[in-house]
Amino acid sequence: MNKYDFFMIFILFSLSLVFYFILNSGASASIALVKYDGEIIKEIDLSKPGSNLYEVQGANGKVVIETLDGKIRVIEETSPYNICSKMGWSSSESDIIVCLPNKVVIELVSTEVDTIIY
Amino acid sequence: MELKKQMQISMLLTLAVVISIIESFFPVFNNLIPGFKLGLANAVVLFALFVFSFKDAVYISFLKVLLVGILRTGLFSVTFFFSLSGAVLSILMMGFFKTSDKFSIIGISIVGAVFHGVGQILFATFYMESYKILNIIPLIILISIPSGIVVGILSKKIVLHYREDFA
Repeated sequence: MNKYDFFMIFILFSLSLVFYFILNSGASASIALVKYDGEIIKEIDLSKPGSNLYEVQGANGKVVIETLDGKIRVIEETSPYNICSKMGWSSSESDIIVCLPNKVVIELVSTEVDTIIY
Repeated sequence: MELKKQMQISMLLTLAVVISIIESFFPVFNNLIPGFKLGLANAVVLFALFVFSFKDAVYISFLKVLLVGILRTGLFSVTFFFSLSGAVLSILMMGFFKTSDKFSIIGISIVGAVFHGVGQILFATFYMESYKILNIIPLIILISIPSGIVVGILSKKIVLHYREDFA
């Protein structure tokens, strides 16, 4: 490793760290927008108490979503690596669940952002 | 292309494909970040880039994606294009950064790792039409730095050890 390598590592590390903390404010989300092919197909209220199951249609079949006390996760979908169901729970405003082969994406937003959208 | 070189490139390509497939069987890193792999196959591409040429490295990188696509995920599937976009951006940026002659193989490996992830995220953003996916880029870069260093150190040793055999 030479000095240019170290310089590059330094630049990459500090830039991504700064952006990471800017983007991950850590505020908890209140609504999850489920999108298919860029269109919102379902709006899920995360404040609904207890465990709730939702089902949407993805490119490879149904995608089953569970919410529990402000958290959300995908529990069932059809894809080669099942990346989005292995991801586990998401609850922060900066989180996003991407089921690429299913073309389904779950964006977490807080109500304040929500009012801007509509 | 002369026969000897043709065989050497075929051998490297096979190696890259096998490493890629074996790596996808071990979801060790998947528990940390879903879909994350060390990217050991990039050591083969780096070897080709430093011992042969940019053209040969592009050749290996592209055919690797094609073959892994046929063998594992299905040709022209979403996963295939996802891998392809990562590989294309990665090899182009590695080639570009290498022309500066400033960085060592470890630096170039980091460039490859970072842009492999960035390429995939860009594809996902356009494919899913959700710009929020771009938020993942800082995290992708953060985890690509250590994996790029590990693969880079490995590539450096391989190049030092086997360069003569391939000359």
